[in-house]
Amino acid sequence: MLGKSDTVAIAISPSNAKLIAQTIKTANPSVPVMTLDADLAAEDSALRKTYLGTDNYLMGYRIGEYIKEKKPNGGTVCTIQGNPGADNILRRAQGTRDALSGQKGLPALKGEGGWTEVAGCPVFTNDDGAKGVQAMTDILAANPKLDAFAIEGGWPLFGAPQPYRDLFKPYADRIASGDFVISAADTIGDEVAIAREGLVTALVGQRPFEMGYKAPGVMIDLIEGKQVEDPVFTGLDECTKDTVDTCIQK
Amino acid sequence: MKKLSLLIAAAALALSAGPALAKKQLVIVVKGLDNPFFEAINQGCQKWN
Repeated sequence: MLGKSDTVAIAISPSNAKLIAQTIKTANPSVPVMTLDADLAAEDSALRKTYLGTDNYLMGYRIGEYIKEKKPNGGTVCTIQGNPGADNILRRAQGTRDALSGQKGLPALKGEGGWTEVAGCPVFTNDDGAKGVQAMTDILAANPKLDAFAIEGGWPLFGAPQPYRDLFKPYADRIASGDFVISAADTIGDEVAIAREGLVTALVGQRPFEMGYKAPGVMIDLIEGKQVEDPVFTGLDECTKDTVDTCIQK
Repeated sequence: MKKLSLLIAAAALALSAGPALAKKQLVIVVKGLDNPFFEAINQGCQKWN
């Protein structure tokens, strides 16, 4: 795409931030390059003109805050993540850790703020919903007293909705009471229905339609040499069982 | 691991510079095409189109 003569700008969502950074360095494109949905690592930010998408750190922080709200004294937690090279998911996980611990930048929680990540976590599921549900099944089998899951991408809910429901239906009462907390990313597919059913404590959703709608305009501004902010954040939608009818921006 | 999938949507941009209109492409490259999240990005891009 970068080599084609009719490509005048490109917006990339990097599945592997380091690999894409290297690709951009090698290609040395003459057209504007921006990132979308997921960014490059902070140290590679000079390789792109701007990032358009979710404030992923804030998203993860809000995921953590919903857990902390239900369990202010702490507990055990497992984060479910995607691809270990995806910068957006890593930023979410860091936001979650910071919210739970009250500290910044810890690579893992070992009691800070009362929170401990159990062995085997984080789980990297490569964005596979079924894999995410299986991972949570295994983690619960090994840790029956687990207090919370922080699901940093909605894959298990929108990607494998029935297996997700089958796994967590027995936990419905504990989720309702706040004794067991599931705080998940995204509001895609069956996710809001799952919230309505009380099988997830909270959803922190993105606005991918807005990303797609805004991206061409940002690329044209870049082509025309206009000043473009870095980053350009799109918003978040937050849903609980009580707010499912009104939580998604129209 | 899923490979990077190229191109879900290209918005054709007609440039008015020069004696003839030239079709150019704005390209969006996403992580994968089998995820409803990226389909929503595609829909946003198509609405702009």
